[in-house]
Amino acid sequence: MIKYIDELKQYLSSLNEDEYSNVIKYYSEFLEDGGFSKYEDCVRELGSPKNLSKNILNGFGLDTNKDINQESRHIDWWVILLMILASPFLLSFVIIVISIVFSILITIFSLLFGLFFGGIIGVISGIIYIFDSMQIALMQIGISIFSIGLAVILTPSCYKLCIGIYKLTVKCCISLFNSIFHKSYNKEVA
Amino acid sequence: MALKVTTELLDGCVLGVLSKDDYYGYALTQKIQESISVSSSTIYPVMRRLKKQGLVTVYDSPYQGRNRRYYRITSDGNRELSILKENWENFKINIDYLMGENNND
Repeated sequence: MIKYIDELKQYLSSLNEDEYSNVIKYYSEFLEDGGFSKYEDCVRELGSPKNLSKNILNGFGLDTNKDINQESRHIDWWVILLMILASPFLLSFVIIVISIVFSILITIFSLLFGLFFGGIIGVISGIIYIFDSMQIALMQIGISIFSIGLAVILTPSCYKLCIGIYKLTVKCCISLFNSIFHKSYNKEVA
Repeated sequence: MALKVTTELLDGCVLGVLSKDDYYGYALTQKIQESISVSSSTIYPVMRRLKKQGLVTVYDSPYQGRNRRYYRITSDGNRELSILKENWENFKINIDYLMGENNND
């Protein structure tokens, strides 16, 4: 009976102290009152400790699932933070990913910026030099207007692209965390 | 009994048993199992839920050098029991009607 209760205790570690002691008290009493002293008798009466713990935890699913989940998620974030700080590999990996994404965004931004303001300056200088060399000035104005137009056309789609990249990065980070912490999380809930 | 007892019916059965006397876990399980076949492991989740809803309270009473935890029905529990009884009566009448009377027609 002691062995049975000890095994049951292992599977119920995710419960809070109060619930945990209630469950253990109930089943210790139950087995004692019923005179189930052998491990096999306990299993015959209540099923294996693992199944019994599932049964107990499922009962919690009816009304306190949310509480339990929120609690464990709260702990998980702290664990994640600690693990990031503690693991040089993960930290450097995250920094690399963030800096790559950041540099892509900066490149796109400066490209648009250059096209737009370069175009404006090109138009102005073209107008200034229009009497020195007509053909070159006209060509320069034309190219400049083209680059302004290109910048204007590309801005909305680049904006969308930036947001897309941002969301993708966040998603990737989350799924990375999930895949790393999935095992420990499952253990806690199941 | 081959039919499955639903959660609400089991609640009703437990409250009904407790409305007559206070019971501790094992004795309550035995009492329930005298009439319907439910596994011993289904009773704890029921008791926990009923306690949480304030339909039963618990108290410890010494027995052979240790404490036994007894369950006692509350006034809310009695109210819930009468609602469940009423629901069950209606349910029973309707099922009887569907299963019985149709055959006679």
